[in-house]
Amino acid sequence: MTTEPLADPLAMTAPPAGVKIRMYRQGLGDCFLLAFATGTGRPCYMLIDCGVLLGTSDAGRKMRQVAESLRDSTGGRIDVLVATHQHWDHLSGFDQAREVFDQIDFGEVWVGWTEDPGNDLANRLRTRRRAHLQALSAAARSLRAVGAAPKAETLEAVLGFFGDLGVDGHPSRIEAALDYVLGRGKPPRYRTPGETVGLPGSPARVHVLGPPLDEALLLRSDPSHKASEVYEKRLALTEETAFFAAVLAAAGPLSPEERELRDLSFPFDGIYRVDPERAKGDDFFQEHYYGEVGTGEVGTGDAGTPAEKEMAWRQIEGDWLGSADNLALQLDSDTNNTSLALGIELSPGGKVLLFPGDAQVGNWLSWHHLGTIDAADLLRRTALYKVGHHASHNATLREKGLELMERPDLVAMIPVDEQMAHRPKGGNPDGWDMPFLPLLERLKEKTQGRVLRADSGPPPPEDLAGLSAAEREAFSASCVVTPLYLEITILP
Amino acid sequence: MPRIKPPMRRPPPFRKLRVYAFDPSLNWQIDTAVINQMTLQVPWEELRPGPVGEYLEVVDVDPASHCCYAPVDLDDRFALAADGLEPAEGDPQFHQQMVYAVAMTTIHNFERALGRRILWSQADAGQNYQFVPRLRIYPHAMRDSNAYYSPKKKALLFGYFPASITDPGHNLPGGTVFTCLSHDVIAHETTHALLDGLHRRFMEPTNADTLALHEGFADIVALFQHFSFAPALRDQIRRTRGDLAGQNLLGQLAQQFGQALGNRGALRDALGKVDPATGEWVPRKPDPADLQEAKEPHTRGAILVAAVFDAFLTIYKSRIADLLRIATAGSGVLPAGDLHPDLVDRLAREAAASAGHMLNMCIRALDHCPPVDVNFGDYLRALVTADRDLVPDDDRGYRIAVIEAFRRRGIYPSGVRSLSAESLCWARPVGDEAAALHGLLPGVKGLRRVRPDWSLTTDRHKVWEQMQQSCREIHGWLLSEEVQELAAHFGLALGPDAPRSIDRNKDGLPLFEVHSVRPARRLGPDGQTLTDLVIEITQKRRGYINPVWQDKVDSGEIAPPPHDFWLRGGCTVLVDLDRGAVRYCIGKGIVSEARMATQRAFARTSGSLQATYFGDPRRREQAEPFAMLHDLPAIEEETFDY
Repeated sequence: MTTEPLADPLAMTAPPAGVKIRMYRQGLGDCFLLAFATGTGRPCYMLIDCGVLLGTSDAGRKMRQVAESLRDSTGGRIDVLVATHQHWDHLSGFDQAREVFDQIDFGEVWVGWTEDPGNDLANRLRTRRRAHLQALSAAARSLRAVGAAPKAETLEAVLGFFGDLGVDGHPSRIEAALDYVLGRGKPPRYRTPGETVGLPGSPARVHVLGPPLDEALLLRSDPSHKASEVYEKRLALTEETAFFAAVLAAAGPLSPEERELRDLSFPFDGIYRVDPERAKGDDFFQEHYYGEVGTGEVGTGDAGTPAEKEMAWRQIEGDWLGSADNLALQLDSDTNNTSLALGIELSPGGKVLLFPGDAQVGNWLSWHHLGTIDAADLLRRTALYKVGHHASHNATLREKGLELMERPDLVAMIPVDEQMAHRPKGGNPDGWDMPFLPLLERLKEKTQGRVLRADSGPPPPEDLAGLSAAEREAFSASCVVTPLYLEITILP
Repeated sequence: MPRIKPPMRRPPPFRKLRVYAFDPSLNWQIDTAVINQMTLQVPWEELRPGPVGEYLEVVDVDPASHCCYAPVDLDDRFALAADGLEPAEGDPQFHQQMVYAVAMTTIHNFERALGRRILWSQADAGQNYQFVPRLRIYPHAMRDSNAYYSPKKKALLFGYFPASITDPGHNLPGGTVFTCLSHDVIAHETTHALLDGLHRRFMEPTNADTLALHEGFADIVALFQHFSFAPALRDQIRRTRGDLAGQNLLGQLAQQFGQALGNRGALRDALGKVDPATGEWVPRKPDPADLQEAKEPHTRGAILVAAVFDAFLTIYKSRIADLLRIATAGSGVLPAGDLHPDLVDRLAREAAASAGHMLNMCIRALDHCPPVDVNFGDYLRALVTADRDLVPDDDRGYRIAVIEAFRRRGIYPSGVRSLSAESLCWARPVGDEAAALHGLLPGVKGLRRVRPDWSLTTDRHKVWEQMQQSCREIHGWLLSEEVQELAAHFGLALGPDAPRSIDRNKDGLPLFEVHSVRPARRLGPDGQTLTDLVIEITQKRRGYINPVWQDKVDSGEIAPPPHDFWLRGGCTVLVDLDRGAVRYCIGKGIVSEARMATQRAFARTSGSLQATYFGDPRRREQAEPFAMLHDLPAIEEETFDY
């Protein structure tokens, strides 16, 4: 059988059977275009995410370029658009290149059930996310106010996963990007784990693995066990809300509801509380904490009343805001864990493409409890693994994940930009640990060197030394490398 | 008319202050409320409001609540008349009293065990390494279920937080839990500061054990302090019928804290844990595999705690065996029903004595640890050596009990030939090495000059200045050329041919630091008290994950790029001042390729969420190394950590 050539020379073709996978190289972010063979001249196109990290230089132009390529490569029609989760490095393009996406026709839009406005738990998660972001961006502002700008920047870098937060900390840009995606669905399909869905015209079947329906597993990315308790009740005094009340009070005027919570959150009765302004005039607090207020100059204070600057190194004005770091990590992980994770089986019993989004531990673990899908079997048959979360340490499960992948022709694609990740983030001069070296090395072992990275491209020859000449040849022949993207063909 | 006054009196030896024996949560249960009342006897000192004394300054600012709390005046006549303020959760001034009293008790225990004054670690470069007379305590520093020692600020920061709403244990749901009202938490954090004052490199995670030792040691001190709570001790002996290996309050840490987080029990328990499935308490069985799996510092530290507690129980059991036989007409089998109160008292006394001995042993071992990159095996050797120096005859088998307890948990030192106490003691230099080491140190005369006076009556600032002076003198000696050649015995590289990854001074010689010079007591063979000099010398070397870079930097082929981690080396030298001989030289070689490879492997596999975004403590010093420890995910083992 011969495939009819497409009219458009820019079009991305599919192999006669199987799939071609294209990873765009816009920076630290995910954008994957898949072209499945259909038997007709036109492949079935699937787009998984389209975003780049906040702070990427010239991001708007880059994303427009990517979107134009998506449009031109697909002849302006994408059969399935998948948005894995609500993070800027996965969705920014739908905001930055909206006018280009307007020119693309989408067949279906798939998102996780966690984006469903009709789902209670999903709504609670969203409410909590907003409350978190509001408090955390207020915490960053307070850190600046007490002179801890580097700490503020480190925190803001993590918050950058939610895009540009306005002054009120509302993630309006990312929500708008997601709303745009949802709006392009007719209506969007909210996918739940355990479902298996066909692709138009293709023998491939898509198994939905996550996000988990079980709340405990959904929140099982949680760095601490002071998780998520009763977060729908914002007025209940919990460790989280007590902290939020303090942060919001430090940042500006409170709503009546917030004021009530703050009053509840004081550890002692009013008669014990002394206003800091009053304490600054008190001998004890001057001598032991604030220093002699007003003189400022080092060494000018009388003996026993050191000047303010000499006292500063032991003050703790901003230390309590350190709790924000943990909350930011928790929020980041919890959101990653809502990733729509897909196992795409090219033919019954055949090769599998694994696209886990940025799924964290709880999401990965939950796959193994799906009655309708044998996740371990899918993992064993995985021929292409889209490495989660830019190959950070926390998004690839070991024993119940990568170690199960045993195909000798396994390929890993890593959407990472190491330089961008390692760029100093405020008070952290080393930046983010992506890719995580031990994971990267294990990936190289498992794939015998077949690791495609968005930043550095195809593997250097020495990485492929373990392959036979024929295997090396076949692998090279299956790859296409351009400055804009990397492509690999997976035959069924 | 002049008033007639009695003659001046000496101040009393102690100031009595009331505290919670454990924490406020025990007051809410009828069976523990009585034993939770406790009056501590704190060594008397002149106090200013705060309290601010010689060692501590309590400053109660609460930036999260945008307020301060007035300092308590413990010289107030009402307070003096009534053993301080009455314990009350809602009274911040009582909180100040309690942190002061418990921290001072912990300090006192250290000074008694070491027989010398304790110093806090010096301030950072930004503060010109100045002397820090007082550790600062902030009882209400943050809204967080956390408390930590800040080495940068030389301060203890205690948090407060609302208890869990869904699973608060004995707490009021949403009620405020104050970490500064937990005896255990205060003792634990104070111990971190005390340990940092002795060994300021022990907080650097250069291997899996360093931070775990910090945590475990802090727990050990907190645990053994329980045995000085006489009513609580008698009560628990009575309840357990003398069997302290069963579930009891003495082996548990931070009841309220643990319950408030929804743990269903204490934060940590040296003896067992509550099975989450059944809710039943089960004893912990020693298993060497635990040590292989435990990576998080608290979990790993808990294994050290369990080993030390196990040794304590062995000692306690052997000390009460005769009492049990006397009380049971030789059978040793106790009859049903309550123990005779006299027997309870005698058992309690033995328990307190055993605990006191173990605590002293654990503290004294710190003088026999290497100055950097310490591990559990080193600590075991230090324990055995330090105890032998003070109690030459192990007729009660204490050292054997310790070795056995460590062995059962898979804690072995590397490079020893057997697990006998003799092989575990640090080796005394003999033959050529002894001669070389002898040549390294100047004569007895010179050494006597640096003998510091750290007796418990000396001014601590003077002690510190004297130590600085001694450090400078020893640093000077080590710069001489003949010493350079012998430096390898000390684990140092001092000559011009040292690896270029060690930074140089203006004369082109490798930098090094004399870290500490302090006296340590020991008993001579005839029972006389001798004083050793403990000298710690350290050096650091730039370490690279990439061994090719390492070679190029070491050989001087390339100028050092930013390093991935510091490899530290050096030694603790114990010198017999009276004979002018080196008794031990406990080293970690700076040029050791094996050490470099081990730390390289460790530095590249940190893998925590924290490290992903905020920097890796194994590679770069973190602002608050103790702040984040409590929050490491329990899920680490499941993710990538090759």
